[in-house]
Amino acid sequence: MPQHIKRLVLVFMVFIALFLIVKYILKPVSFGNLGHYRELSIHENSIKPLHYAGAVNCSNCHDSIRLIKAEGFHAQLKCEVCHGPGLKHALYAGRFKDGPLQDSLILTMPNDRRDCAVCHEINAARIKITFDTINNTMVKQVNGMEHYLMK
Amino acid sequence: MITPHLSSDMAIFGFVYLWYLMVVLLLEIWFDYRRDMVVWAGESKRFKRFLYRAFSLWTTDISPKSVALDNKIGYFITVIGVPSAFLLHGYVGFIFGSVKANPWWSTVLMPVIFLFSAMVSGIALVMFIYILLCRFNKDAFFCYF
Repeated sequence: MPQHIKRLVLVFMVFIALFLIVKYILKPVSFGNLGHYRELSIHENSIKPLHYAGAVNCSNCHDSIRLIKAEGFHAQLKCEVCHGPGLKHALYAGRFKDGPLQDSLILTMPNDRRDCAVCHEINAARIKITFDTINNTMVKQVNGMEHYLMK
Repeated sequence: MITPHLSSDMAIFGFVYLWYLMVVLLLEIWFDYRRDMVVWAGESKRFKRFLYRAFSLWTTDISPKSVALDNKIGYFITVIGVPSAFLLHGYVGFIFGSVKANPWWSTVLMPVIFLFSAMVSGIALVMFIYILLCRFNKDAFFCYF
């Protein structure tokens, strides 16, 4: 083998070795313990504060509203999709049964026409299947300007 | 980059890019210019000399035998390099075509579009550079036409 080919192979080997060293240094500690990800990321996420109460906790107090929703078009949606995260509300709203709620415990009531557009505005990137085709789960898309959703 | 996942399109693109840039382009240019760089290292001084020496990996072997070997390897790299170029530019189109947020890009023609636009834009760039070079360098042999 001529000398310059030998040098070339040597340079490539040096670069590969450098890469392996850098990889050894930069690879996160718990990577690969459970799969192709950091094991510690599970623990990091599990200690984050909770925000959502879950639909079951909503119906503990608002069971009549749950029944109304089950009859309507939005039966497949969970409460907090529209009303916002409500863990604090679920935990502490019971204390204000007789008086007005504390401001930080009030959930949103999206009753404007423009609130419909958040989900139902035409979006070319969404699958176009009409509302009642599959289990009432698909979102019907309408032109917000034609339906006066943007008023 | 450090821990690529083999089911990730983008990670595979990293391998494709690494193959094309490091193995195909870099090696092909190096084998093409190695003899010239050894000659230039002898003609230039100080920093330039050091640079050419480093680029030729401190070898000075420009015997006809080794130059013939360089040409042979360069030819081999070109033969595998042309399909690799198709792979690289086609893969860019594949990546763009699978971007869900852009419905207008969602077509299997994307790799073909990328290949042909790469060809025409490359040719256009070469012509543009030719015009610029010959505007400032009228005596160069390639500007006689």
